[in-house]
Amino acid sequence: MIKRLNTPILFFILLFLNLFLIALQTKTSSGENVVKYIFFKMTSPLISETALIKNYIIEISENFRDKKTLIKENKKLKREVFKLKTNNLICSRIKLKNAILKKMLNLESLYDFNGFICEVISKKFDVFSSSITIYCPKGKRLKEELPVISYNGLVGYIIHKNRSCGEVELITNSGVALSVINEEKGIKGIAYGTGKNLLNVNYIPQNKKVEKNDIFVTSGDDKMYPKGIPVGIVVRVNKGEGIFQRVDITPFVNFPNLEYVYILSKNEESNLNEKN
Amino acid sequence: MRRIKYLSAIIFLSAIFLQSLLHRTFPFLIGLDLYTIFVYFISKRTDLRKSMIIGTLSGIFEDFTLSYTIPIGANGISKLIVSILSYQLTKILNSSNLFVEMGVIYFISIVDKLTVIFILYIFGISFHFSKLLIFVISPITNAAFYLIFFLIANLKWKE
Repeated sequence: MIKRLNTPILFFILLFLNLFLIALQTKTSSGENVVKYIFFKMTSPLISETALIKNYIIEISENFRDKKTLIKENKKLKREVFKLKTNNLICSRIKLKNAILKKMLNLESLYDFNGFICEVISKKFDVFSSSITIYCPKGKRLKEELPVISYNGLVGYIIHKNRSCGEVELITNSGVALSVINEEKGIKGIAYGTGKNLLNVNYIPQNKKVEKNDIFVTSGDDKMYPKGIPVGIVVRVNKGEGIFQRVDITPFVNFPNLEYVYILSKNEESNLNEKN
Repeated sequence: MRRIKYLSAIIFLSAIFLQSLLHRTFPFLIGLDLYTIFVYFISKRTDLRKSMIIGTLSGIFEDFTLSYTIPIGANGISKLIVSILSYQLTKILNSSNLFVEMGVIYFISIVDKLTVIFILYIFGISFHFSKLLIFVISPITNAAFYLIFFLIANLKWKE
Protein backbone atom coordinates (compact mmCIF):
# COMPACT_ATOMS: atom_id res chain seq x y z
CA MET A 1 0.00 0.00 0.00
CA ILE A 2 2.83 2.33 0.94
CA LYS A 3 4.56 1.56 -2.32
CA ARG A 4 1.48 2.54 -4.28
CA LEU A 5 1.34 5.96 -2.69
CA ASN A 6 3.17 8.85 -4.26
CA THR A 7 5.86 10.43 -2.13
CA PRO A 8 4.23 13.90 -2.16
CA ILE A 9 0.90 12.37 -1.27
CA LEU A 10 2.47 10.41 1.56
CA PHE A 11 4.23 13.56 2.71
CA PHE A 12 0.99 15.49 2.81
CA ILE A 13 -0.80 12.64 4.56
CA LEU A 14 1.84 12.53 7.26
CA LEU A 15 1.94 16.29 7.49
CA PHE A 16 -1.79 16.52 7.92
CA LEU A 17 -1.71 13.75 10.47
CA ASN A 18 0.76 15.74 12.55
CA LEU A 19 -1.08 18.99 12.04
CA PHE A 20 -4.27 17.32 13.10
CA LEU A 21 -2.59 16.01 16.23
CA ILE A 22 -1.31 19.50 17.04
CA ALA A 23 -4.66 21.04 16.29
CA LEU A 24 -6.29 18.60 18.65
CA GLN A 25 -4.34 20.07 21.54
CA THR A 26 -4.22 23.75 20.70
CA LYS A 27 -6.74 26.20 22.00
CA THR A 28 -8.10 29.47 20.69
CA SER A 29 -7.75 32.80 22.47
CA SER A 30 -11.17 32.24 24.02
CA GLY A 31 -9.95 28.93 25.46
CA GLU A 32 -11.78 26.70 23.04
CA ASN A 33 -10.26 23.63 21.46
CA VAL A 34 -9.17 24.44 17.89
CA VAL A 35 -10.47 21.19 16.40
CA LYS A 36 -13.75 21.69 18.15
CA TYR A 37 -13.77 25.30 17.00
CA ILE A 38 -13.06 24.40 13.37
CA PHE A 39 -15.50 21.53 13.50
CA PHE A 40 -18.08 23.84 15.00
CA LYS A 41 -17.45 26.48 12.34
CA MET A 42 -17.80 23.85 9.64
CA THR A 43 -20.84 22.22 11.05
CA SER A 44 -22.56 25.24 12.61
CA PRO A 45 -24.68 25.98 9.50
CA LEU A 46 -25.75 22.36 9.40
CA ILE A 47 -26.36 22.33 13.14
CA SER A 48 -28.30 25.58 12.97
CA GLU A 49 -30.37 24.22 10.09
CA THR A 50 -30.91 21.01 12.01
CA ALA A 51 -31.88 23.05 15.06
CA LEU A 52 -34.25 25.03 12.89
CA ILE A 53 -35.81 21.84 11.53
CA LYS A 54 -35.93 20.44 15.05
CA ASN A 55 -37.66 23.62 16.23
CA TYR A 56 -40.10 23.34 13.36
CA ILE A 57 -40.80 19.72 14.24
CA ILE A 58 -41.23 20.63 17.90
CA GLU A 59 -43.50 23.50 16.93
CA ILE A 60 -45.54 21.27 14.64
CA SER A 61 -45.78 18.54 17.28
CA GLU A 62 -46.76 21.14 19.89
CA ASN A 63 -49.31 22.56 17.52
CA PHE A 64 -50.57 19.07 16.88
CA ARG A 65 -50.71 18.44 20.62
CA ASP A 66 -52.40 21.81 21.10
CA LYS A 67 -54.79 20.94 18.33
CA LYS A 68 -55.59 17.67 20.03
CA THR A 69 -56.19 19.37 23.34
CA LEU A 70 -58.16 22.08 21.59
CA ILE A 71 -60.31 19.48 19.89
CA LYS A 72 -60.90 17.85 23.26
CA GLU A 73 -61.62 21.20 24.85
CA ASN A 74 -63.87 22.13 21.96
CA LYS A 75 -65.82 18.92 22.36
CA LYS A 76 -66.10 19.53 26.08
CA LEU A 77 -67.21 23.11 25.51
CA LYS A 78 -69.70 21.98 22.89
CA ARG A 79 -71.17 19.57 25.43
CA GLU A 80 -71.28 22.36 27.98
CA VAL A 81 -72.87 24.72 25.45
CA PHE A 82 -75.45 22.08 24.63
CA LYS A 83 -76.10 21.56 28.33
CA LEU A 84 -76.42 25.29 28.91
CA LYS A 85 -78.65 25.68 25.87
CA THR A 86 -80.85 22.90 27.21
CA ASN A 87 -80.85 24.54 30.61
CA ASN A 88 -81.65 27.83 28.99
CA LEU A 89 -84.49 26.22 27.09
CA ILE A 90 -85.74 24.62 30.27
CA CYS A 91 -85.45 27.98 32.03
CA SER A 92 -87.30 29.78 29.28
CA ARG A 93 -89.90 27.02 29.36
CA ILE A 94 -90.20 27.32 33.12
CA LYS A 95 -90.44 31.09 32.72
CA LEU A 96 -93.20 30.66 30.19
CA LYS A 97 -94.99 28.17 32.40
CA ASN A 98 -94.56 30.49 35.30
CA ALA A 99 -96.04 33.37 33.30
CA ILE A 100 -98.96 31.18 32.20
CA LEU A 101 -99.58 29.96 35.70
CA LYS A 102 -99.34 33.47 37.01
CA LYS A 103 -101.94 34.58 34.49
CA MET A 104 -104.08 31.61 35.47
CA LEU A 105 -103.88 32.60 39.10
CA ASN A 106 -104.82 36.13 38.15
CA LEU A 107 -108.02 34.76 36.67
CA GLU A 108 -109.56 34.67 40.13
CA SER A 109 -109.20 38.39 40.59
CA LEU A 110 -110.05 39.02 36.95
CA TYR A 111 -113.34 37.10 36.78
CA ASP A 112 -114.17 36.80 40.43
CA PHE A 113 -114.39 33.02 40.62
CA ASN A 114 -112.32 30.11 41.91
CA GLY A 115 -111.15 26.80 40.59
CA PHE A 116 -107.93 24.90 40.08
CA ILE A 117 -105.23 24.59 37.46
CA CYS A 118 -104.70 21.44 35.40
CA GLU A 119 -101.92 20.56 33.02
CA VAL A 120 -102.73 19.60 29.46
CA ILE A 121 -101.18 16.21 28.77
CA SER A 122 -102.46 15.51 25.27
CA LYS A 123 -104.29 17.18 22.42
CA LYS A 124 -106.36 15.77 19.61
CA PHE A 125 -107.35 17.81 16.59
CA ASP A 126 -109.04 16.05 13.70
CA VAL A 127 -111.95 16.54 11.36
CA PHE A 128 -114.46 14.77 13.57
CA SER A 129 -113.62 15.98 17.03
CA SER A 130 -111.19 18.22 18.84
CA SER A 131 -110.36 17.59 22.46
CA ILE A 132 -107.63 17.86 25.01
CA THR A 133 -106.76 15.60 27.92
CA ILE A 134 -105.93 17.19 31.22
CA TYR A 135 -104.23 15.86 34.30
CA CYS A 136 -105.95 16.58 37.57
CA PRO A 137 -103.66 17.54 40.47
CA LYS A 138 -103.76 15.57 43.70
CA GLY A 139 -106.43 16.64 46.17
CA LYS A 140 -108.67 17.95 43.42
CA ARG A 141 -111.57 16.17 41.78
CA LEU A 142 -112.81 16.49 38.28
CA LYS A 143 -116.48 16.41 37.42
CA GLU A 144 -118.24 16.13 34.08
CA GLU A 145 -119.56 19.30 32.43
CA LEU A 146 -117.27 21.55 34.41
CA PRO A 147 -116.29 24.60 32.36
CA VAL A 148 -112.65 24.85 31.34
CA ILE A 149 -111.02 28.17 30.60
CA SER A 150 -107.60 29.53 29.86
CA TYR A 151 -106.08 32.84 30.88
CA ASN A 152 -107.14 34.33 27.55
CA GLY A 153 -110.53 32.81 27.03
CA LEU A 154 -112.98 29.93 27.05
CA VAL A 155 -111.65 26.46 26.21
CA GLY A 156 -114.59 24.08 26.59
CA TYR A 157 -116.03 21.71 29.17
CA ILE A 158 -115.17 18.32 30.64
CA ILE A 159 -116.88 15.60 28.70
CA HIS A 160 -115.30 12.51 30.31
CA LYS A 161 -113.28 12.01 33.44
CA ASN A 162 -111.61 9.33 35.41
CA ARG A 163 -109.58 9.36 38.62
CA SER A 164 -106.81 11.63 37.55
CA CYS A 165 -107.53 12.66 34.00
CA GLY A 166 -110.31 14.33 32.13
CA GLU A 167 -111.20 14.87 28.51
CA VAL A 168 -112.19 18.40 27.54
CA GLU A 169 -114.37 19.05 24.53
CA LEU A 170 -113.30 22.26 22.87
CA ILE A 171 -115.75 25.01 21.92
CA THR A 172 -114.62 24.75 18.31
CA ASN A 173 -115.79 21.16 18.12
CA SER A 174 -118.73 20.71 15.79
CA GLY A 175 -121.97 20.24 17.70
CA VAL A 176 -120.94 22.42 20.62
CA ALA A 177 -123.10 25.44 21.23
CA LEU A 178 -122.93 28.24 23.75
CA SER A 179 -124.62 31.49 24.40
CA VAL A 180 -122.48 34.57 23.67
CA ILE A 181 -122.89 38.29 23.97
CA ASN A 182 -121.20 41.44 22.78
CA GLU A 183 -121.36 43.46 25.93
CA GLU A 184 -120.64 46.82 24.28
CA LYS A 185 -123.57 46.64 21.87
CA GLY A 186 -125.68 44.18 23.80
CA ILE A 187 -125.83 41.75 20.88
CA LYS A 188 -126.60 38.19 21.87
CA GLY A 189 -126.28 35.04 19.84
CA ILE A 190 -125.59 31.35 19.87
CA ALA A 191 -122.05 30.29 18.94
CA TYR A 192 -121.62 26.92 17.24
CA GLY A 193 -118.41 25.02 16.78
CA THR A 194 -117.42 24.34 13.19
CA GLY A 195 -114.75 21.71 13.60
CA LYS A 196 -112.20 24.32 12.52
CA ASN A 197 -110.60 27.12 14.48
CA LEU A 198 -113.74 29.16 13.97
CA LEU A 199 -117.15 29.65 15.64
CA ASN A 200 -120.38 30.66 13.94
CA VAL A 201 -122.56 33.02 15.87
CA ASN A 202 -126.21 32.72 14.83
CA TYR A 203 -129.46 34.30 15.78
CA ILE A 204 -128.24 37.84 15.58
CA PRO A 205 -130.97 40.04 14.18
CA GLN A 206 -130.22 41.89 10.96
CA ASN A 207 -130.79 45.29 12.53
CA LYS A 208 -127.88 44.76 14.95
CA LYS A 209 -124.72 46.27 13.68
CA VAL A 210 -121.90 43.78 14.14
CA GLU A 211 -118.47 44.84 12.99
CA LYS A 212 -115.16 43.21 12.55
CA ASN A 213 -113.03 42.94 15.71
CA ASP A 214 -116.08 42.99 17.98
CA ILE A 215 -115.54 40.81 20.99
CA PHE A 216 -117.96 38.15 22.14
CA VAL A 217 -118.01 36.77 25.67
CA THR A 218 -120.14 34.14 27.37
CA SER A 219 -123.56 35.45 28.32
CA GLY A 220 -124.24 32.81 30.99
CA ASP A 221 -127.74 32.17 29.59
CA ASP A 222 -126.95 28.54 28.82
CA LYS A 223 -126.25 27.81 32.50
CA MET A 224 -123.20 25.97 31.35
CA TYR A 225 -120.56 28.70 31.43
CA PRO A 226 -120.38 31.64 33.77
CA LYS A 227 -120.91 35.06 32.33
CA GLY A 228 -118.11 37.25 31.01
CA ILE A 229 -115.56 34.73 29.77
CA PRO A 230 -113.98 35.92 26.48
CA VAL A 231 -114.87 33.61 23.60
CA GLY A 232 -113.59 35.17 20.41
CA ILE A 233 -113.25 38.10 18.07
CA VAL A 234 -115.30 38.79 14.93
CA VAL A 235 -113.47 38.07 11.72
CA ARG A 236 -116.32 38.09 9.25
CA VAL A 237 -119.94 39.27 9.18
CA ASN A 238 -122.34 37.53 6.81
CA LYS A 239 -125.59 39.44 6.56
CA GLY A 240 -127.34 36.88 4.32
CA GLU A 241 -130.95 37.08 3.29
CA GLY A 242 -132.84 35.79 6.34
CA ILE A 243 -133.92 37.60 9.44
CA PHE A 244 -130.69 36.74 11.21
CA GLN A 245 -127.16 37.46 10.25
CA ARG A 246 -124.27 35.11 10.71
CA VAL A 247 -120.97 36.12 12.26
CA ASP A 248 -117.73 34.20 12.24
CA ILE A 249 -115.55 34.57 15.29
CA THR A 250 -112.09 33.26 16.03
CA PRO A 251 -111.55 31.96 19.55
CA PHE A 252 -109.05 33.82 21.73
CA VAL A 253 -107.52 30.60 22.89
CA ASN A 254 -104.78 29.15 20.77
CA PHE A 255 -105.71 25.51 21.29
CA PRO A 256 -102.61 23.84 19.85
CA ASN A 257 -100.39 25.85 22.25
CA LEU A 258 -102.51 25.18 25.27
CA GLU A 259 -100.49 23.96 28.24
CA TYR A 260 -102.49 24.78 31.34
CA VAL A 261 -106.18 25.20 31.83
CA TYR A 262 -108.32 26.44 34.64
CA ILE A 263 -111.23 24.30 35.84
CA LEU A 264 -114.09 26.14 37.36
CA SER A 265 -115.53 24.33 40.34
CA LYS A 266 -119.27 23.78 40.39
CA ASN A 267 -119.73 25.39 43.78
CA GLU A 268 -117.87 28.43 42.70
CA GLU A 269 -119.88 28.49 39.58
CA SER A 270 -123.09 28.37 41.55
CA ASN A 271 -121.74 31.11 43.78
CA LEU A 272 -120.94 33.09 40.68
CA ASN A 273 -124.43 32.55 39.39
CA GLU A 274 -125.77 33.62 42.70
CA LYS A 275 -123.63 36.71 42.50
CA ASN A 276 -124.87 37.39 39.01
CA MET B 1 18.90 -6.29 5.02
CA ARG B 2 17.51 -8.31 7.90
CA ARG B 3 20.54 -7.29 9.89
CA ILE B 4 19.75 -3.64 9.29
CA LYS B 5 16.19 -4.22 10.40
CA TYR B 6 17.30 -5.74 13.69
CA LEU B 7 19.84 -3.03 14.12
CA SER B 8 17.23 -0.36 13.47
CA ALA B 9 14.95 -1.86 16.05
CA ILE B 10 17.74 -2.09 18.59
CA ILE B 11 18.81 1.48 17.89
CA PHE B 12 15.24 2.70 18.14
CA LEU B 13 14.65 0.99 21.47
CA SER B 14 17.97 2.14 22.82
CA ALA B 15 17.19 5.65 21.58
CA ILE B 16 13.93 5.65 23.52
CA PHE B 17 15.64 4.23 26.57
CA LEU B 18 18.65 6.46 26.46
CA GLN B 19 16.74 9.57 25.48
CA SER B 20 14.69 9.35 28.64
CA LEU B 21 17.62 8.46 30.88
CA LEU B 22 20.70 10.24 29.60
CA HIS B 23 19.69 13.82 30.28
CA ARG B 24 18.70 12.88 33.81
CA THR B 25 21.98 11.12 34.52
CA PHE B 26 24.10 13.60 32.57
CA PRO B 27 22.48 17.05 32.59
CA PHE B 28 24.83 18.30 29.89
CA LEU B 29 23.22 15.83 27.49
CA ILE B 30 19.86 17.57 27.78
CA GLY B 31 20.07 18.78 24.21
CA LEU B 32 20.67 15.31 22.83
CA ASP B 33 18.01 14.14 20.38
CA LEU B 34 18.60 10.50 19.62
CA TYR B 35 15.46 10.34 17.53
CA THR B 36 17.03 12.67 14.97
CA ILE B 37 20.04 10.39 14.74
CA PHE B 38 17.72 7.42 14.43
CA VAL B 39 15.80 9.11 11.61
CA TYR B 40 19.03 9.92 9.83
CA PHE B 41 20.14 6.33 10.27
CA ILE B 42 16.90 5.03 8.76
CA SER B 43 16.90 7.55 5.93
CA LYS B 44 20.40 6.56 5.03
CA ARG B 45 19.55 2.89 4.74
CA THR B 46 15.98 2.70 3.46
CA ASP B 47 13.90 4.40 0.77
CA LEU B 48 12.24 7.78 1.13
CA ARG B 49 8.71 6.61 1.85
CA LYS B 50 9.69 4.27 4.63
CA SER B 51 11.99 6.82 6.17
CA MET B 52 9.17 9.40 6.03
CA ILE B 53 6.76 7.09 7.81
CA ILE B 54 9.26 5.86 10.39
CA GLY B 55 10.52 9.40 10.94
CA THR B 56 7.01 10.76 11.49
CA LEU B 57 6.01 7.92 13.77
CA SER B 58 9.20 8.22 15.82
CA GLY B 59 8.61 11.98 16.10
CA ILE B 60 5.08 11.42 17.32
CA PHE B 61 6.41 8.77 19.69
CA GLU B 62 8.97 11.26 20.97
CA ASP B 63 6.22 13.79 21.56
CA PHE B 64 4.18 11.23 23.43
CA THR B 65 7.06 10.06 25.63
CA LEU B 66 9.21 13.08 26.21
CA SER B 67 7.70 16.43 25.37
CA TYR B 68 5.46 17.98 27.95
CA THR B 69 5.43 21.51 26.69
CA ILE B 70 5.56 20.78 22.96
CA PRO B 71 2.25 19.61 21.48
CA ILE B 72 2.05 16.10 20.10
CA GLY B 73 2.69 16.25 16.39
CA ALA B 74 5.25 19.06 16.36
CA ASN B 75 8.19 16.70 16.46
CA GLY B 76 6.29 14.48 14.02
CA ILE B 77 6.40 17.24 11.41
CA SER B 78 10.00 18.13 12.18
CA LYS B 79 11.06 14.49 11.92
CA LEU B 80 9.16 14.13 8.67
CA ILE B 81 11.09 17.04 7.21
CA VAL B 82 14.29 15.72 8.74
CA SER B 83 13.74 12.31 7.16
CA ILE B 84 13.21 13.85 3.70
CA LEU B 85 16.11 16.20 4.12
CA SER B 86 18.50 13.57 5.41
CA TYR B 87 17.49 11.20 2.60
CA GLN B 88 18.04 13.87 -0.02
CA LEU B 89 21.34 15.01 1.50
CA THR B 90 22.63 11.46 1.75
CA LYS B 91 21.67 10.92 -1.86
CA ILE B 92 23.28 14.15 -3.03
CA LEU B 93 26.44 13.87 -0.97
CA ASN B 94 26.72 10.10 -1.35
CA SER B 95 29.53 9.99 1.16
CA SER B 96 30.27 7.74 4.09
CA ASN B 97 32.76 10.19 5.51
CA LEU B 98 32.22 10.57 9.25
CA PHE B 99 32.63 14.31 9.26
CA VAL B 100 30.25 14.78 6.36
CA GLU B 101 27.72 12.69 8.18
CA MET B 102 28.29 14.68 11.35
CA GLY B 103 27.74 17.81 9.30
CA VAL B 104 24.52 16.38 7.97
CA ILE B 105 23.48 15.44 11.51
CA TYR B 106 24.30 18.95 12.64
CA PHE B 107 22.34 20.47 9.78
CA ILE B 108 19.26 18.28 10.15
CA SER B 109 19.28 18.86 13.93
CA ILE B 110 19.19 22.61 13.32
CA VAL B 111 16.38 22.13 10.81
CA ASP B 112 14.58 19.88 13.27
CA LYS B 113 14.72 22.42 16.08
CA LEU B 114 13.87 25.33 13.78
CA THR B 115 10.86 23.44 12.49
CA VAL B 116 9.67 22.82 16.02
CA ILE B 117 10.13 26.50 16.90
CA PHE B 118 8.31 27.48 13.72
CA ILE B 119 5.40 25.17 14.49
CA LEU B 120 5.15 26.47 18.03
CA TYR B 121 5.22 29.99 16.66
CA ILE B 122 2.49 29.23 14.11
CA PHE B 123 0.22 27.66 16.68
CA GLY B 124 0.90 30.47 19.10
CA ILE B 125 2.40 28.24 21.79
CA SER B 126 4.78 30.17 23.97
CA PHE B 127 8.07 28.62 25.02
CA HIS B 128 10.71 29.75 27.44
CA PHE B 129 13.93 31.26 26.24
CA SER B 130 15.92 28.55 28.04
CA LYS B 131 14.39 26.02 25.63
CA LEU B 132 15.90 27.96 22.77
CA LEU B 133 19.30 27.34 24.29
CA ILE B 134 18.63 23.61 24.25
CA PHE B 135 17.74 23.96 20.60
CA VAL B 136 21.13 25.56 19.98
CA ILE B 137 23.01 22.97 22.00
CA SER B 138 21.06 20.06 20.53
CA PRO B 139 22.72 19.98 17.02
CA ILE B 140 26.20 20.00 18.51
CA THR B 141 25.35 17.26 21.02
CA ASN B 142 23.71 15.21 18.30
CA ALA B 143 26.70 15.49 16.02
CA ALA B 144 29.03 14.55 18.84
CA PHE B 145 26.89 11.62 19.87
CA TYR B 146 26.73 10.41 16.27
CA LEU B 147 30.47 10.16 16.33
CA ILE B 148 30.31 7.72 19.24
CA PHE B 149 27.43 5.87 17.68
CA PHE B 150 29.30 5.65 14.37
CA LEU B 151 32.32 4.21 16.02
CA ILE B 152 30.30 1.60 17.92
CA ALA B 153 28.30 0.68 14.86
CA ASN B 154 31.38 0.31 12.69
CA LEU B 155 32.94 -1.89 15.26
CA LYS B 156 29.94 -4.18 15.25
CA TRP B 157 29.71 -4.37 11.51
CA LYS B 158 33.32 -5.29 11.22
CA GLU B 159 32.70 -8.27 13.44
